[in-house]
Amino acid sequence: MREPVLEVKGLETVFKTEEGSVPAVNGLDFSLYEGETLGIVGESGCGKSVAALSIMGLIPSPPGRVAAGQIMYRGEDLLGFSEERMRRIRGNQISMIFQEPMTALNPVYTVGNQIEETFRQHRNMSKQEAFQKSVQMLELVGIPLPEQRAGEYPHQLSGGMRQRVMIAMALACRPDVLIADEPTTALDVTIQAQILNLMKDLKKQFGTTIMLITHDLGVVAETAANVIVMYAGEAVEYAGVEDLFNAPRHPYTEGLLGSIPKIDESCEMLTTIEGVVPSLMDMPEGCRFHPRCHYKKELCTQKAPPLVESGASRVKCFKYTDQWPHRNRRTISP
Amino acid sequence: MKKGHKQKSQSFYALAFRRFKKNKLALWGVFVLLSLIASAIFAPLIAPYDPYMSVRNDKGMLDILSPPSSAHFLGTDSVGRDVASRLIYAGRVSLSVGVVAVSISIVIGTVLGSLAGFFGRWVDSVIMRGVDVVICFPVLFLIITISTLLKPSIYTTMIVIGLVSWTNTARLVRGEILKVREFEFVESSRALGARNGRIIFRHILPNIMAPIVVQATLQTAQAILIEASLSFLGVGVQQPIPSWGNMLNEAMSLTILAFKPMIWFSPGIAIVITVLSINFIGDGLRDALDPKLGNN
Repeated sequence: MREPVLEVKGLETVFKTEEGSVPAVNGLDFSLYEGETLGIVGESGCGKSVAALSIMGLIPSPPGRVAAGQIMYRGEDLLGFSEERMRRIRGNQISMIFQEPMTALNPVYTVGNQIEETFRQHRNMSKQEAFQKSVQMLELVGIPLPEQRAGEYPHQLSGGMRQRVMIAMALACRPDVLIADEPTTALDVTIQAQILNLMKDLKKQFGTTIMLITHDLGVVAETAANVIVMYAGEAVEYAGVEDLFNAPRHPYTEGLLGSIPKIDESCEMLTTIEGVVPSLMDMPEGCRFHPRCHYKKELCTQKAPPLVESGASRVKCFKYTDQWPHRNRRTISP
Repeated sequence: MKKGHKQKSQSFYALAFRRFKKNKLALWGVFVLLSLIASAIFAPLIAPYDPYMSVRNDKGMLDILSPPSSAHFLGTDSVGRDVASRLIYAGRVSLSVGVVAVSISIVIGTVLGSLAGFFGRWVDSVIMRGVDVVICFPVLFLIITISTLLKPSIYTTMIVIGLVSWTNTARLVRGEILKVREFEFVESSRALGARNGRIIFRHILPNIMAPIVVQATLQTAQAILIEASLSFLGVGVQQPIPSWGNMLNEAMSLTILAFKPMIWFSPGIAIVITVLSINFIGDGLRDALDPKLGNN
């Protein structure tokens, strides 16, 4: 059995608001194995990004706080690290890229300069050496004329180029783990494909472990090996990417897949999941998904479902437990 | 390749400089200010007389309050010193007081404003309440008190002006930092392992240089005016060191005010020209650095 690089256990991140504490992430568990790509999917506000920031130790505090859980990185709990130790890990062992390539680069410095900074911070390189390394990084992420581009400012580059620069910055120190928070959301489709391919290539080259946060199931299908589906601060399904698409277990996953328009069918109305995500302030009793669930039973409104194994997946739903009435007649395909 | 690099990289400041060059009024301001600075620096070469020495006329008497003539083109003052020479030397004092006082106030204001804006919470509360307190002081009265207690001199004048005028900068910087610290590149540099100090000084401050530069320019004009008022009131730069303010002081005498206009008129005009040209530069900088205001 391989040791996981990163292991998150029972992560709970709460935000204090005027109306009380709001758990943005509520008991998230997962393991990230060396060289794996893990996709985390879920709609806006389900806690994906908060989970990522918790791992980086970048939750704005106050109002945010990691209230419980462990984040084990190579056997050590990151939550116990001092700020200075955490700082040395960020960008060096665990790196993150952000959604908005438009604003994630500092407009007053050339891109070369910004990549150099990562080197100078973690590697104590001379200016000269850092510059050469930056040019190499730019070349590596597929930017043509890297030497010239290094001297340009972010506003002179296109969105896709900037995202490449971001990736170059994040991978400059060859981190173990790369957390990509919706890296392709702000890009148009052809550029998205290029960036995803680039990430796949670099992953192969460096053996980087990637945690890919997205709300785009297409991106997940393209890149991830394993997937976590999050809903309202909880992970509701853990599955291999094939299982997820062929045999979604959780009704929410089913709904998500059902809402993707099919290329070979014409339809008047797009399928949606009825209802809205409940407010974190006002979570329904029992299963958090029950107000929107087709399969809802009495049981679901009373108790939170346990995490149970179903095939190769794990899912948080009563449908797969013994408590479910008419267990024999369950249907799996959407 | 090297050449392409040179052509293509238009930094923010290069673009701003190009916009600035289009502003005629500001260019005039720069021209006038540069001449004033040059005359201040090369005062010993330019000034026709020693500003501290009384001159005697051919009868061997002190040549006091003489009208403009070919020898003294702005005349002499009440103790017989050449007004033109004193005016040139006074430029040294006034400009350096302006620059030093503003440097002090900009440094204090920027540091405190950055801390308040970046760290927020109690740091912010403490600093901003401090700002409120300083703003509440009756400035002129405070300056008079301090500079009297500290023995008035050119240095106390610089320090005192610096110490009371940082509040605007602090507020401005705090506001700008509150805005910029929410940009994603700040979070991104933190995610790449940058320290707080590095984030503030390397990532945030360069992004708000534009308003700070404008503020500094306009405040220089303000500081020169305050210095003039202080010296006029006798608590700033002390005689015999000439400053435009204490030269104006002579206008307190009714005879001089009424019959020897050149003595107070010339320092008055010097102040007006200096302040105006600095203000024009400030406005020009603001327009150039903030393309959104654009007037083209």
